[in-house]
Amino acid sequence: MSTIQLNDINLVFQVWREKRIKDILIPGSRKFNDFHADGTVHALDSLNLIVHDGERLAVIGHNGAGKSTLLKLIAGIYAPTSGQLIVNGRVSSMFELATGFEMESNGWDNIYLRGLMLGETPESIKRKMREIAEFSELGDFLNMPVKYYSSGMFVRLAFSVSTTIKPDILLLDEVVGAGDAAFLQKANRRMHEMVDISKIMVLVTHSMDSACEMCNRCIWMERGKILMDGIPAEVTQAYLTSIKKEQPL
Amino acid sequence: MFSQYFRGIWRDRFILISLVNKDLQLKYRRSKLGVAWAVLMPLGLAIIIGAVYSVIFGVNPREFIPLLFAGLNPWLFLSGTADGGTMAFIGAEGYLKQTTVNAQIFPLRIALVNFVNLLYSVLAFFTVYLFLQPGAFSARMLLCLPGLALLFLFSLGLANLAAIVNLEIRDFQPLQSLILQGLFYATPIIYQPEMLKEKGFELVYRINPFYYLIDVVRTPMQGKFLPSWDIWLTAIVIAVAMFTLSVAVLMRHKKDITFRL
Repeated sequence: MSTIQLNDINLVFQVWREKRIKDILIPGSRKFNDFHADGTVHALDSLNLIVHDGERLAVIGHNGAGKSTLLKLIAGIYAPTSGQLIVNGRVSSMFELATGFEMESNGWDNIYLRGLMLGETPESIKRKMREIAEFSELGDFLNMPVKYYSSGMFVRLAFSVSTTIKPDILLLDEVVGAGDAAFLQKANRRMHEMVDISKIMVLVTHSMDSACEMCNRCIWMERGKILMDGIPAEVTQAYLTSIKKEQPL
Repeated sequence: MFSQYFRGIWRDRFILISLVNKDLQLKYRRSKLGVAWAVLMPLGLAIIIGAVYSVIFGVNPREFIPLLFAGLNPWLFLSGTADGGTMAFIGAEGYLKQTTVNAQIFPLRIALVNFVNLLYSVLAFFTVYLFLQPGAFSARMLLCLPGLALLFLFSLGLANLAAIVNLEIRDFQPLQSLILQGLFYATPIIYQPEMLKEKGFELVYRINPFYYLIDVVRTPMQGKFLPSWDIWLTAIVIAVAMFTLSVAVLMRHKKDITFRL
């Protein structure tokens, strides 16, 4: 039984801002600064959300709406400023591209390390190595230090690890964008399979098609709040309509 | 707080081992002499300084080089760990922002890698010493082991603190290396404590915590004397206090780390 439950979650980023001599001497030199006067950004604003077993949740919204922050909060990477977060089940995640690799090590070592970090034991990840390698289709490239990899190859590697370890909860962030067409298809197929294996999936996406195709629930976020929550077809439609209104062309 | 610190390390022990192994392999890859550098570095330094001193001050290099070598080893470990600690979290940004790996393993990773190098150079010291002063070998030398343990604890504490402080204030790294450079000259490593004593500056090393931690390693290693009880006790108190403080600070700020990267 897996669940994700957010009770009145707030997350406030303390954004770097130091008072500089220029700011004191020239008042108004800071007018291009968008942040609050105290240098904070309210990334998640009193969020309430419950995700149950069997739900595949798509998260859509503009850049900076708080989608990725929400995902990292669920993953346990960002701690909430206030509120209560309950996550039951083993989480596997994949966020920004090409981070969290040992650049000097080869693909195999990185699969091993990434597997460990996602909660595998040395034995269990070693058993899954071959399967991960096969899915990634990286072949001989796996013997090469990953610093020579392209962004698409990093995606292949990271996606293969994150989805092969069969988590209860799978968190994905815009991941397959950098893969080529063939891998994209394969990844989509894998995600469909994952739907059966993992109990909960949360997918942050800008592709309305993926949201409708892959998910059975969709939330639309704006400025750290949930604007709409419902079935993907309706929510994506409302979102697209709102974009058209903003840009009448 | 402490149990959380150790439980986190235990949970991620395989990651830690894998990272330390990797660091050790990478450190000497593409270098022709490989791991021999862990030995050549302090030995070379000891010979350079020893040669200069024997020319300028007329000290006997046969006596002075082992003393230098014995003192430089723990010093290089201590300062290297503190300096590496400043980048422990910053260098692990990818892991910390992608997974829920426990942050406390990263300063420990730095300390362990440096400690393995220290062990290599300690072995090198004994090899060289065997040729220079074979008569000095005795069971007293075994007491450098608890000394090494105290030094490790203290240096890990420094790395923990440096990692946290450097997240908040990036100026800490150059500042710390400047302070360490200063302490290097204030600590009797490249000269004997007696030299300061004669000039009436005994206080300079008496109030210097680094002196005690280096002394509990260096003096037993030379096999002739043992540090007095007050030196042992001071070293224990300093090492435990430093480690405790650093763990308290680290665990207190642990959940802020990802926000600061």
